[in-house]
Amino acid sequence: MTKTALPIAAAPETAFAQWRDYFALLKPRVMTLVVFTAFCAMLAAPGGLHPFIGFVAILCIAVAAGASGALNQWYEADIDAMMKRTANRPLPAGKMAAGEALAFGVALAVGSVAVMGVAVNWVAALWLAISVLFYVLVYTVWLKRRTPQNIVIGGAAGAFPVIVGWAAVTGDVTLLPWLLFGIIFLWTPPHFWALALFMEADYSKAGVPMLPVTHGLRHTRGQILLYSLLLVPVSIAPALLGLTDWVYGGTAVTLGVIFLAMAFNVYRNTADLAVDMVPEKRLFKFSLLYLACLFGALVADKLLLP
Amino acid sequence: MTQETTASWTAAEREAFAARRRSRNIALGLVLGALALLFFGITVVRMDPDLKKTAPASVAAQPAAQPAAQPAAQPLP
Repeated sequence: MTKTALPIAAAPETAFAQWRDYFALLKPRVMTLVVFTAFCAMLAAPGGLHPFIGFVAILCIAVAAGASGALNQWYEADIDAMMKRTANRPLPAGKMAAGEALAFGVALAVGSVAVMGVAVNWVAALWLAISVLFYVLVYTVWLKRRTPQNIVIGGAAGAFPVIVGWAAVTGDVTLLPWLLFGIIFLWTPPHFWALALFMEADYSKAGVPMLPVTHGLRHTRGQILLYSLLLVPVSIAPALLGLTDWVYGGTAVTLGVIFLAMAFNVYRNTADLAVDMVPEKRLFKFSLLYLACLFGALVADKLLLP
Repeated sequence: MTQETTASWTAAEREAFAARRRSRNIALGLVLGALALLFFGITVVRMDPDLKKTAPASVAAQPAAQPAAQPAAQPLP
Protein backbone atom coordinates (compact mmCIF):
# COMPACT_ATOMS: atom_id res chain seq x y z
CA MET A 1 0.00 0.00 0.00
CA THR A 2 1.44 3.35 -0.97
CA LYS A 3 1.18 6.49 1.12
CA THR A 4 -0.67 8.31 -1.64
CA ALA A 5 -3.56 5.84 -1.46
CA LEU A 6 -5.10 7.94 1.32
CA PRO A 7 -6.69 11.38 0.96
CA ILE A 8 -4.16 13.16 3.15
CA ALA A 9 -5.76 16.60 2.89
CA ALA A 10 -9.12 15.29 4.10
CA ALA A 11 -7.95 13.04 6.92
CA PRO A 12 -6.63 13.74 10.41
CA GLU A 13 -2.90 14.25 9.79
CA THR A 14 -1.71 12.54 12.94
CA ALA A 15 -3.13 9.22 11.84
CA PHE A 16 -0.80 8.99 8.89
CA ALA A 17 2.60 9.12 10.58
CA GLN A 18 4.06 5.68 11.18
CA TRP A 19 6.76 4.66 13.63
CA ARG A 20 9.26 4.85 10.76
CA ASP A 21 8.46 8.53 10.34
CA TYR A 22 9.12 9.21 14.00
CA PHE A 23 12.38 7.27 13.74
CA ALA A 24 13.42 9.29 10.68
CA LEU A 25 12.72 12.45 12.68
CA LEU A 26 15.53 11.45 15.05
CA LYS A 27 18.20 11.73 12.31
CA PRO A 28 19.59 8.29 13.13
CA ARG A 29 22.76 8.77 11.04
CA VAL A 30 23.79 11.87 12.96
CA MET A 31 22.93 10.04 16.16
CA THR A 32 25.47 7.32 15.30
CA LEU A 33 28.36 9.80 15.34
CA VAL A 34 27.14 11.41 18.56
CA VAL A 35 26.79 8.07 20.32
CA PHE A 36 30.19 6.90 19.09
CA THR A 37 32.09 9.97 20.30
CA ALA A 38 30.23 10.05 23.64
CA PHE A 39 30.86 6.32 24.16
CA CYS A 40 34.58 6.76 23.45
CA ALA A 41 34.72 9.68 25.91
CA MET A 42 33.04 7.49 28.54
CA LEU A 43 35.55 4.69 27.97
CA ALA A 44 38.48 7.11 28.06
CA ALA A 45 37.33 8.84 31.25
CA PRO A 46 39.02 7.85 34.51
CA GLY A 47 36.93 5.80 36.92
CA GLY A 48 34.10 3.46 36.09
CA LEU A 49 30.37 3.26 35.75
CA HIS A 50 27.98 0.37 36.31
CA PRO A 51 27.41 -1.14 32.83
CA PHE A 52 23.65 -0.64 33.04
CA ILE A 53 24.02 2.98 34.15
CA GLY A 54 26.54 3.41 31.31
CA PHE A 55 23.92 2.02 28.92
CA VAL A 56 21.35 4.46 30.31
CA ALA A 57 23.79 7.36 29.84
CA ILE A 58 24.40 6.42 26.19
CA LEU A 59 20.67 5.97 25.65
CA CYS A 60 19.97 9.43 27.10
CA ILE A 61 22.65 11.00 24.89
CA ALA A 62 21.22 9.23 21.81
CA VAL A 63 17.64 10.23 22.63
CA ALA A 64 18.65 13.85 23.33
CA ALA A 65 20.49 13.93 19.98
CA GLY A 66 17.35 12.52 18.36
CA ALA A 67 15.23 15.16 20.09
CA SER A 68 17.55 17.87 18.76
CA GLY A 69 17.16 16.37 15.27
CA ALA A 70 13.37 16.31 15.59
CA LEU A 71 13.20 19.93 16.77
CA ASN A 72 15.62 20.91 14.01
CA GLN A 73 13.37 19.25 11.39
CA TRP A 74 10.29 20.88 12.90
CA TYR A 75 11.86 24.33 12.55
CA GLU A 76 13.43 23.73 9.15
CA ALA A 77 10.58 21.98 7.34
CA ASP A 78 10.34 24.88 4.89
CA ILE A 79 13.97 24.72 3.71
CA ASP A 80 14.03 20.90 3.88
CA ALA A 81 11.24 20.91 1.29
CA MET A 82 13.47 22.83 -1.12
CA MET A 83 16.49 20.51 -1.02
CA LYS A 84 16.60 17.19 -2.84
CA ARG A 85 18.59 15.61 0.00
CA THR A 86 15.97 16.47 2.64
CA ALA A 87 12.68 16.73 0.73
CA ASN A 88 11.67 13.19 1.74
CA ARG A 89 11.88 13.89 5.47
CA PRO A 90 8.56 13.26 7.29
CA LEU A 91 7.48 16.91 7.62
CA PRO A 92 8.21 18.24 4.10
CA ALA A 93 6.83 14.98 2.66
CA GLY A 94 3.52 15.59 4.49
CA LYS A 95 3.67 12.37 6.49
CA MET A 96 3.42 14.12 9.85
CA ALA A 97 1.86 17.25 11.36
CA ALA A 98 4.29 19.95 12.56
CA GLY A 99 2.78 19.99 16.06
CA GLU A 100 3.40 16.28 16.40
CA ALA A 101 7.08 16.67 15.58
CA LEU A 102 7.41 19.55 18.05
CA ALA A 103 5.70 17.64 20.87
CA PHE A 104 7.78 14.53 20.09
CA GLY A 105 11.05 16.49 20.18
CA VAL A 106 10.24 18.37 23.40
CA ALA A 107 9.08 15.20 25.17
CA LEU A 108 12.25 13.33 24.22
CA ALA A 109 14.51 16.23 25.20
CA VAL A 110 12.91 16.72 28.62
CA GLY A 111 12.69 12.97 29.25
CA SER A 112 16.32 12.25 28.33
CA VAL A 113 17.66 15.06 30.54
CA ALA A 114 15.47 13.98 33.47
CA VAL A 115 16.49 10.33 33.20
CA MET A 116 20.17 11.30 32.86
CA GLY A 117 19.89 13.37 36.04
CA VAL A 118 18.07 10.76 38.09
CA ALA A 119 19.93 7.67 36.87
CA VAL A 120 23.46 8.97 36.16
CA ASN A 121 24.27 12.41 37.61
CA TRP A 122 23.04 15.99 37.33
CA VAL A 123 26.32 17.38 35.95
CA ALA A 124 25.91 15.17 32.87
CA ALA A 125 22.20 16.09 32.75
CA LEU A 126 23.07 19.80 32.81
CA TRP A 127 25.52 19.44 29.90
CA LEU A 128 22.97 17.32 28.02
CA ALA A 129 20.35 20.08 28.44
CA ILE A 130 22.88 22.70 27.31
CA SER A 131 23.74 20.62 24.23
CA VAL A 132 20.07 20.34 23.16
CA LEU A 133 19.35 24.03 23.83
CA PHE A 134 22.52 25.06 21.99
CA TYR A 135 21.69 22.97 18.92
CA VAL A 136 18.05 24.02 18.76
CA LEU A 137 18.11 27.65 19.88
CA VAL A 138 21.62 28.91 19.05
CA TYR A 139 22.30 26.87 15.90
CA THR A 140 18.93 26.06 14.32
CA VAL A 141 16.79 29.05 15.29
CA TRP A 142 19.32 31.85 15.69
CA LEU A 143 22.37 31.40 13.49
CA LYS A 144 21.88 28.81 10.76
CA ARG A 145 19.95 31.12 8.45
CA ARG A 146 21.88 34.27 9.45
CA THR A 147 25.58 33.52 9.08
CA PRO A 148 27.79 31.53 6.70
CA GLN A 149 29.73 30.45 9.80
CA ASN A 150 26.67 28.35 10.77
CA ILE A 151 28.66 25.14 10.37
CA VAL A 152 31.24 26.32 12.92
CA ILE A 153 28.45 26.92 15.46
CA GLY A 154 26.89 23.58 14.55
CA GLY A 155 30.28 21.98 15.24
CA ALA A 156 30.08 23.12 18.83
CA ALA A 157 26.63 21.56 19.13
CA GLY A 158 27.94 18.26 17.80
CA ALA A 159 30.91 18.36 20.16
CA PHE A 160 28.91 18.53 23.41
CA PRO A 161 28.23 14.76 23.65
CA VAL A 162 31.88 14.07 24.56
CA ILE A 163 31.49 16.47 27.49
CA VAL A 164 28.27 14.70 28.51
CA GLY A 165 29.86 11.25 28.18
CA TRP A 166 32.87 12.26 30.25
CA ALA A 167 30.71 13.94 32.91
CA ALA A 168 28.52 10.82 33.11
CA VAL A 169 31.53 8.82 34.31
CA THR A 170 33.50 11.35 36.36
CA GLY A 171 30.84 13.82 37.50
CA ASP A 172 33.03 16.72 36.32
CA VAL A 173 34.66 18.12 33.16
CA THR A 174 38.45 18.44 32.97
CA LEU A 175 40.96 19.49 30.28
CA LEU A 176 40.92 16.29 28.18
CA PRO A 177 37.15 16.35 27.43
CA TRP A 178 37.48 20.01 26.43
CA LEU A 179 40.30 19.04 24.03
CA LEU A 180 38.04 16.31 22.62
CA PHE A 181 35.33 18.95 22.30
CA GLY A 182 37.85 21.13 20.43
CA ILE A 183 38.72 18.28 18.05
CA ILE A 184 35.09 17.74 16.99
CA PHE A 185 34.48 21.50 16.90
CA LEU A 186 37.41 22.08 14.50
CA TRP A 187 36.77 18.87 12.54
CA THR A 188 33.19 19.84 11.66
CA PRO A 189 33.89 22.79 9.29
CA PRO A 190 36.27 20.91 6.95
CA HIS A 191 33.94 17.89 7.03
CA PHE A 192 30.74 19.77 6.18
CA TRP A 193 32.24 22.39 3.90
CA ALA A 194 33.79 19.61 1.82
CA LEU A 195 30.23 18.24 1.49
CA ALA A 196 28.80 21.71 0.90
CA LEU A 197 31.23 22.31 -1.97
CA PHE A 198 29.85 19.48 -4.08
CA MET A 199 26.26 20.01 -2.81
CA GLU A 200 26.37 23.79 -3.30
CA ALA A 201 23.50 23.89 -5.78
CA ASP A 202 21.16 22.28 -3.23
CA TYR A 203 21.96 24.79 -0.45
CA SER A 204 21.79 27.69 -2.88
CA LYS A 205 18.27 26.67 -3.91
CA ALA A 206 17.14 26.54 -0.27
CA GLY A 207 18.66 29.94 0.53
CA VAL A 208 20.79 28.60 3.40
CA PRO A 209 23.84 30.88 3.72
CA MET A 210 26.42 28.11 3.44
CA LEU A 211 29.94 29.37 2.89
CA PRO A 212 30.26 28.16 -0.75
CA VAL A 213 27.00 29.99 -1.55
CA THR A 214 27.88 33.29 0.16
CA HIS A 215 31.66 33.51 -0.26
CA GLY A 216 32.40 31.27 -3.22
CA LEU A 217 34.33 28.07 -3.71
CA ARG A 218 37.83 29.57 -3.45
CA HIS A 219 37.16 31.15 -0.05
CA THR A 220 35.55 27.93 1.25
CA ARG A 221 38.58 25.89 0.20
CA GLY A 222 40.82 28.33 2.07
CA GLN A 223 38.64 28.01 5.18
CA ILE A 224 38.81 24.21 4.97
CA LEU A 225 42.60 24.41 4.97
CA LEU A 226 42.60 26.94 7.83
CA TYR A 227 40.39 24.79 10.09
CA SER A 228 42.45 21.70 9.19
CA LEU A 229 45.61 23.56 10.25
CA LEU A 230 43.93 24.35 13.57
CA LEU A 231 42.52 20.85 13.98
CA VAL A 232 45.77 18.92 13.78
CA PRO A 233 47.61 20.64 16.68
CA VAL A 234 44.52 20.36 18.89
CA SER A 235 44.20 16.66 18.03
CA ILE A 236 47.85 16.08 19.03
CA ALA A 237 47.61 18.24 22.19
CA PRO A 238 46.28 15.44 24.48
CA ALA A 239 49.44 13.41 23.77
CA LEU A 240 51.77 16.43 24.05
CA LEU A 241 50.24 17.36 27.40
CA GLY A 242 50.65 13.80 28.69
CA LEU A 243 46.90 13.20 28.96
CA THR A 244 47.10 10.21 26.60
CA ASP A 245 49.79 7.71 25.62
CA TRP A 246 51.66 6.86 22.41
CA VAL A 247 48.84 4.89 20.72
CA TYR A 248 46.71 8.01 20.58
CA GLY A 249 49.69 10.31 19.91
CA GLY A 250 50.98 8.21 16.99
CA THR A 251 47.51 7.87 15.48
CA ALA A 252 46.81 11.60 15.84
CA VAL A 253 50.07 12.56 14.10
CA THR A 254 49.64 10.04 11.26
CA LEU A 255 45.99 10.87 10.61
CA GLY A 256 46.71 14.59 10.99
CA VAL A 257 49.37 14.52 8.26
CA ILE A 258 46.97 12.71 5.88
CA PHE A 259 44.14 15.11 6.77
CA LEU A 260 46.36 18.13 6.07
CA ALA A 261 47.53 16.66 2.76
CA MET A 262 43.93 16.10 1.67
CA ALA A 263 42.88 19.59 2.81
CA PHE A 264 45.78 21.02 0.81
CA ASN A 265 44.59 19.09 -2.26
CA VAL A 266 41.15 20.63 -1.78
CA TYR A 267 42.76 24.08 -1.48
CA ARG A 268 44.64 23.58 -4.76
CA ASN A 269 41.57 22.32 -6.62
CA THR A 270 39.93 24.91 -8.87
CA ALA A 271 36.99 22.86 -10.14
CA ASP A 272 33.58 24.53 -10.27
CA LEU A 273 31.52 21.46 -11.12
CA ALA A 274 30.62 18.86 -8.53
CA VAL A 275 31.69 16.05 -10.83
CA ASP A 276 35.28 17.39 -10.81
CA MET A 277 35.46 17.81 -7.03
CA VAL A 278 37.31 14.58 -6.35
CA PRO A 279 39.59 15.99 -3.59
CA GLU A 280 36.53 17.39 -1.79
CA LYS A 281 34.73 14.03 -1.95
CA ARG A 282 37.89 12.26 -0.74
CA LEU A 283 38.31 14.66 2.18
CA PHE A 284 34.65 14.27 3.15
CA LYS A 285 34.94 10.47 3.26
CA PHE A 286 38.33 10.50 4.97
CA SER A 287 37.13 12.94 7.63
CA LEU A 288 34.64 10.33 8.84
CA LEU A 289 37.39 7.70 9.03
CA TYR A 290 39.67 10.27 10.71
CA LEU A 291 37.29 10.92 13.60
CA ALA A 292 36.46 7.24 14.05
CA CYS A 293 40.14 6.21 14.15
CA LEU A 294 41.16 9.10 16.41
CA PHE A 295 38.52 8.29 19.03
CA GLY A 296 39.18 4.58 18.60
CA ALA A 297 42.86 5.25 19.36
CA LEU A 298 41.85 7.24 22.43
CA VAL A 299 39.95 4.24 23.77
CA ALA A 300 42.72 1.81 22.77
CA ASP A 301 45.21 3.99 24.59
CA LYS A 302 43.20 3.78 27.79
CA LEU A 303 42.22 0.10 27.56
CA LEU A 304 45.37 -1.51 26.13
CA LEU A 305 48.14 0.33 27.92
CA PRO A 306 48.75 -0.11 31.64
CA MET B 1 -15.28 16.84 10.87
CA THR B 2 -13.15 13.76 11.00
CA GLN B 3 -16.24 11.53 10.89
CA GLU B 4 -17.49 13.28 7.77
CA THR B 5 -14.25 12.75 5.89
CA THR B 6 -13.62 9.21 7.08
CA ALA B 7 -17.20 8.23 6.22
CA SER B 8 -16.43 8.82 2.55
CA TRP B 9 -13.38 6.57 2.54
CA THR B 10 -13.32 3.39 0.53
CA ALA B 11 -12.73 0.04 2.19
CA ALA B 12 -9.08 0.06 1.02
CA GLU B 13 -8.52 3.50 2.51
CA ARG B 14 -10.05 2.48 5.82
CA GLU B 15 -7.86 -0.61 5.88
CA ALA B 16 -4.70 1.42 5.18
CA PHE B 17 -5.67 3.94 7.84
CA ALA B 18 -6.20 1.17 10.40
CA ALA B 19 -2.90 -0.49 9.48
CA ARG B 20 -0.96 2.71 10.04
CA ARG B 21 -2.70 3.38 13.32
CA ARG B 22 -2.07 -0.22 14.43
CA SER B 23 1.64 -0.03 13.62
CA ARG B 24 1.93 3.19 15.65
CA ASN B 25 0.10 1.68 18.59
CA ILE B 26 2.32 -1.40 18.57
CA ALA B 27 5.45 0.77 18.46
CA LEU B 28 4.13 2.93 21.31
CA GLY B 29 3.37 -0.18 23.37
CA LEU B 30 6.88 -1.51 22.83
CA VAL B 31 8.40 1.84 23.81
CA LEU B 32 6.31 1.98 27.00
CA GLY B 33 7.31 -1.59 27.86
CA ALA B 34 10.98 -0.76 27.27
CA LEU B 35 10.64 2.32 29.49
CA ALA B 36 9.13 0.24 32.29
CA LEU B 37 12.06 -2.20 32.05
CA LEU B 38 14.53 0.69 31.95
CA PHE B 39 13.15 2.31 35.11
CA PHE B 40 13.02 -1.07 36.83
CA GLY B 41 16.68 -1.67 35.92
CA ILE B 42 17.71 1.79 37.09
CA THR B 43 15.94 1.25 40.41
CA VAL B 44 17.57 -2.13 40.98
CA VAL B 45 21.06 -0.85 40.10
CA ARG B 46 20.74 2.36 42.12
CA MET B 47 19.66 0.35 45.18
CA ASP B 48 22.67 -1.95 44.84
CA PRO B 49 25.38 -1.04 47.38
CA ASP B 50 28.05 -2.33 44.96
CA LEU B 51 27.28 0.66 42.72
CA LYS B 52 29.55 2.71 44.95
CA LYS B 53 32.51 0.63 43.86
CA THR B 54 32.24 1.85 40.28
CA ALA B 55 30.30 5.12 40.36
CA PRO B 56 31.81 8.61 40.42
CA ALA B 57 31.54 10.59 43.63
CA SER B 58 28.64 12.68 42.33
CA VAL B 59 26.56 9.55 41.72
CA ALA B 60 27.56 7.86 44.94
CA ALA B 61 26.56 10.93 46.93
CA GLN B 62 22.97 10.89 45.69
CA PRO B 63 20.29 9.79 48.16
CA ALA B 64 19.28 6.54 46.45
CA ALA B 65 22.68 5.06 47.26
CA GLN B 66 24.08 3.94 50.61
CA PRO B 67 24.74 6.35 53.51
CA ALA B 68 27.58 8.82 53.02
CA ALA B 69 29.72 7.17 55.68
CA GLN B 70 31.09 4.69 53.14
CA PRO B 71 34.28 5.66 51.27
CA ALA B 72 33.93 7.32 47.88
CA ALA B 73 34.78 5.36 44.75
CA GLN B 74 38.45 5.21 43.86
CA PRO B 75 39.38 5.95 40.24
CA LEU B 76 40.94 3.10 38.36
CA PRO B 77 44.65 3.43 37.52
